[in-house]
Amino acid sequence: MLEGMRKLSLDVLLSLLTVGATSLAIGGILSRWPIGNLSLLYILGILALAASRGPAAALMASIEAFLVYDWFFIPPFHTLDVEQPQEWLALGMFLVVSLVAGQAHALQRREAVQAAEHDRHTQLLYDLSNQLTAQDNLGGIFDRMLATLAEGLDLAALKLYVWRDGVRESSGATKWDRKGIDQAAEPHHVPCKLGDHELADLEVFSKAGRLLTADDVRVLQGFANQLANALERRRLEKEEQLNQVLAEANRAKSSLLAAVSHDLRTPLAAIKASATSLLQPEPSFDDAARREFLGSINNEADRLDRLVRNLLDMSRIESGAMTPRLEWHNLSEIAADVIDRLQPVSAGHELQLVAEDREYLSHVDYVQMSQVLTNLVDNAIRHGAPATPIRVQVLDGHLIVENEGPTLSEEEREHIFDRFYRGDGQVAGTGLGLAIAKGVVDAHGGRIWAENTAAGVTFHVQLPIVEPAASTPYTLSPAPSL
Amino acid sequence: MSRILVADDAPEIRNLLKRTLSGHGHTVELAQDGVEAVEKARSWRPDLILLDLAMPRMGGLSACQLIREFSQAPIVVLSVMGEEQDKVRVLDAGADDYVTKPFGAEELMARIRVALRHSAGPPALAVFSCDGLVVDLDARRVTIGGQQVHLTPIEYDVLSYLVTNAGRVLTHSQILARAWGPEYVTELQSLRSFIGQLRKKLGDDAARPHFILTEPGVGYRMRSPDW
Repeated sequence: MLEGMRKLSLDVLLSLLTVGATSLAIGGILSRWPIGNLSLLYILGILALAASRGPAAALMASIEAFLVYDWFFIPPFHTLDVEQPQEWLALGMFLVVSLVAGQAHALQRREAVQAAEHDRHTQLLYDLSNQLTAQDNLGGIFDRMLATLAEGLDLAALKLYVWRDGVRESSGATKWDRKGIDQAAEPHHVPCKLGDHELADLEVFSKAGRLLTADDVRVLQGFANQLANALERRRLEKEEQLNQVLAEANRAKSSLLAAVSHDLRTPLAAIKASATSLLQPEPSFDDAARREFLGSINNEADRLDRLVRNLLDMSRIESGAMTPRLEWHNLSEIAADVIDRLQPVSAGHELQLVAEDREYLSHVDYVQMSQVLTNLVDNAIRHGAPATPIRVQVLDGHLIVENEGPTLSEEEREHIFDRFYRGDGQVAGTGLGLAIAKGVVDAHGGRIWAENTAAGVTFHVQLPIVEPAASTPYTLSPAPSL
Repeated sequence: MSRILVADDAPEIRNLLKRTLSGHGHTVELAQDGVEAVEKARSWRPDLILLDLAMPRMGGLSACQLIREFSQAPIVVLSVMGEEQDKVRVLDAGADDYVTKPFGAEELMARIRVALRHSAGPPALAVFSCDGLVVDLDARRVTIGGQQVHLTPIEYDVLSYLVTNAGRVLTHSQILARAWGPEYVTELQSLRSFIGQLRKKLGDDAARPHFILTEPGVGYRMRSPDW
């Protein structure tokens, strides 16, 4: 309102000044040369007013010029009367021409300004759209885009809310200038929709005294539409990524199932065939053969138990529930225990324990560490050349499992501890054993790695060196004399 | 007794089969993959080959194809559930039968017995008789408990094909090719209803057939009189 009054007063003042100045010029000219109709000079000023101030100022100037010209320059002077009737015609024509010219010029001018504004807005939208499509991380550029938009449209402030999982989250805003905002007016809402689905919305705060034009709303809606598209695109990209992860997990699960079913079936088949052989009335096997069948049932049951334990461990590691119960244990004792258990199923490999005479105490979970060693030895049995020895060496906080046989390729060395990785596929296995060993060693804060040697492959487990606290119930062996 | 070659990648299964088969008086040789199986089938000339399907280097299917190029020794495949497609392929490639792990020793020995008997030459059997079903192959006469069963010529063809191979699995395509011709080997649905009809005429319960046994996903097997 105030803004309107100010503009009107300025229009009146400027029209009066323009008409006054032109009248003085006409008076000056007429005092030297008796030229006929000089009223056309007013048209120049009126056109200038129309261009700079708009149609209202031009209209006022036209009427003022009409009156002033009649008053000063049409006889009888200093009256609004006219001596000769044809002067009425001239005056009338002047008024019509000045009105039409002024209004037409003002209109054209306004259209030019609007076209320029429109161009600017189009450019603004284009720039914003480029930002939206160029950016992978939308969240990072919301604030900057909102600032660009607010500046381009001369807005007080903009806020963006994005719907995430059914919650409308504030996701960006321009600087908040309390004074510049039209406090009385409610913010204008612009929805960012895709079809009927609202993905986000903009809250638009206009500046005091400045109403949103239709063009402003068009630009805001254009931006909102692009934003909706960008948000949707991002959502689809995320979905696609998730799908890939799920497909990968699914593949891994299938390969695990295939491997597990093979590994479960082999001992089951052996147990079933042994048991049914013993159950058959004919032929009657001798005592040695019967013991072998029973031994095989026993060993295969142990193998099944190890496999089931590995599966459980894997799910524990995956769910982050693998927490070692750390106590002081002698690694040599763990190694000897594992070797004794695996010797009967070592498929012709001799399992050797290489330990120094002194005891090394390590802070480990006994069951888990024996599982690590079991899996490493089992792996060495599977991959070692037939009838070669397998050496388990125990040092201070350091376990070494050595076999003779094919060495690892670069690729195998890189992936050998990955879940479900099964080397070149020549040897059956779930691809779980080494992954579990790594999971357990990691949970102990240690390190596990594989090295090629001249004869085969060596696995190392390095556990962190922790000094036993004074209160430990274990007695340390005396340090070796140097 | 017989010379049997056992090919399996799992040492525990190899050793166990050796023990079981030796106990039944057979001579046993072992191979740990398909390549070794083909080599030993050629050099050792076994009477029968037990062949695991899933083996490293060379699987049972390829080994079976290679062995069939030079040997007609019966091949019994060791497989697991879920490998039906592979079973059909290896049977169509010339294997004689299969057992599914885990198998009982009795079942394995029965399969081996049937396979060895068939390899001894075409059965000189003129009359098949099992649990009241009598098929007189010379007279083309079928009776159940003394009552004559009237079969169409094609039903009789299928039944006689089944009984001459009693105890052995016959794949769908083997039966279809035999009774209708090689161009009909994909007519699975027709074969199912045809077998259904044949079972009805033999007084067989569709849910628990006694004579014509279903090998799911693979084919049919005629009950053998000796097991």
